[in-house]
Amino acid sequence: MTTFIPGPELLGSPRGRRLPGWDAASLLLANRSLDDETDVLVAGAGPAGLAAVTALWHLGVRDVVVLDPSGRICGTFFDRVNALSQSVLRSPYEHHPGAEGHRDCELLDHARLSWEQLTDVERHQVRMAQSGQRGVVPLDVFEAFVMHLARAHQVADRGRTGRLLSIQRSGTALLAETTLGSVRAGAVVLAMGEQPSEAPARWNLPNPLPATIRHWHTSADPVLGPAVVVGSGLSAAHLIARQLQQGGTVTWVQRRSERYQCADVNASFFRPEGRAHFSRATRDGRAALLRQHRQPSIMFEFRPLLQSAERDGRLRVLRNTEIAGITGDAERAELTLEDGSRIPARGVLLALGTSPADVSEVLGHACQGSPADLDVNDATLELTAMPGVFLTGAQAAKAVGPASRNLDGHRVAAQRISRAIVAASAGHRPERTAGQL
Amino acid sequence: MTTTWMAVDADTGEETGIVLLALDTGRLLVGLGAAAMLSSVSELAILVEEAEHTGVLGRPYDSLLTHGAHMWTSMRKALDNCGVFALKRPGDPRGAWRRLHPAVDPALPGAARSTVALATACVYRREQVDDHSRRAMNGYR
Repeated sequence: MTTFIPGPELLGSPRGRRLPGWDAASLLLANRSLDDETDVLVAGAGPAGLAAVTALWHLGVRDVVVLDPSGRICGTFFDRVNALSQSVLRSPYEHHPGAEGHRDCELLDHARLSWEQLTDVERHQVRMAQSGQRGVVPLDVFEAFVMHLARAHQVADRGRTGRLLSIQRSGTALLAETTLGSVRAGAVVLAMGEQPSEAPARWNLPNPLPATIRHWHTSADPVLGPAVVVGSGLSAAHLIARQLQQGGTVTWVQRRSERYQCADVNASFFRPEGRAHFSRATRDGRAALLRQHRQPSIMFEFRPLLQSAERDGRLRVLRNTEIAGITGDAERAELTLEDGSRIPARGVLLALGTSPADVSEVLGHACQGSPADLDVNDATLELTAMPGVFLTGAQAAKAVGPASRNLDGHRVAAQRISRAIVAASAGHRPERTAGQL
Repeated sequence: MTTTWMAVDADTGEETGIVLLALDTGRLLVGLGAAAMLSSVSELAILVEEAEHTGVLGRPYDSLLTHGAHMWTSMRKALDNCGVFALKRPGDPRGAWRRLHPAVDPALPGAARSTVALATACVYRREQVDDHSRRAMNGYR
């Protein structure tokens, strides 16, 4: 396996360019009421939901409703990367959210159509990708591409701003309760993404949080003064980099359960042989692989900045450290460590990672026990306990493997789900109106 | 020695042109039919793909295809008169673009930048484009 070692120059991609195809309105979900019936309800308009809609589109399934509380296609995704001041994706060019196996314009072509506005570093990444090497994608390119995908597959027209509340079986269809009312669906795809992890209760965080204590996704504003960053993943790296680039000092707390690792998910999991390796593993073996690859990781591009800042004292790293509590008011915050020492700061930034959104409330009695124990058909990603309901994105990790959280995993999941939905439509939905799926 | 290796400082028009050379012939003809709407080749390529999905780009996709086929047929004579079809087509697309595009440009005086770019791609793929044009003018997509 080739190790991917990107350099720090990748972090210099500009953000906010209006590349060819850019049109913010393309991402706004239609502001209409729900119809009584639909062939497929997709809960979540993030990258996983978008992949599902485009895959269904290419199989002729057009009666689709996409429901998302943010009101925008990939709205939460872009809000989060913007809050981190992130300007490049970790994914390579071949991972894109379009449909598998169709002659659509791909992400790499889209970048080349934007050639005039790309920097030399970005152009070099395109050339790397054309040569079969890994080349990372500027967020500006990705954003314009998502807008293009949304328009080509008329996703916004199929969208509604709302939240899925529950699903229950109703004859051979499913009855979905949403914040916009109820809708009968032939199938439901749960693409509900990931939620930022909560801080442990023992930290006794003030409630509500003062402005000096923030979760990573809530604001793009830097801390004006000494900052503490808690966490060891990519989000933590972005927050630290932003503070350092603003001339600030940072104390970086890596908890015992965390380790700073310059690594990425093993690339083999994105290939058919990697997925086969995962699918052959036992239930316990899969759980172990997922634990191993859920470790936070920071890519190599941050290393020179972090190392030089640690050498010259702008960055103080507390490794293998546990936190006893965090207090704060409108002016300052303070961390207390387990050994009793205190770290005063102008702000504490919490980058505690994410975990798959809990779908148990939506599924009700069909979800006995932990959501992680939900049994999913590997080939179709259909829930065993509730036929007609499919999982994609982070929720499909047990079937797709560590790649499920990645754009490429979304595409694989979308292909399996869309084929299963079309196959099931050939006679298994007797209550559907004639002419519909 | 001149190299046609893919440089990071490649000309913008050339880079988008290479993408055009690989488009389906139907998309080339639709692009030609719609080129008057947009001078940006990149924007046009993106809109043509969206139109192939949705069936509309200002007017119905099939109507743009037929219009593009007629445009190709009518501009073919001008291109021939300027000796464009006598030029050898190098096997590598980048080299082909560098040879054909400067020849197509003066053969279509007054044409929009996007029209010249699409016409260059049609010249490069003319056997397939001719065939698709004939079918399009007979009502086939």
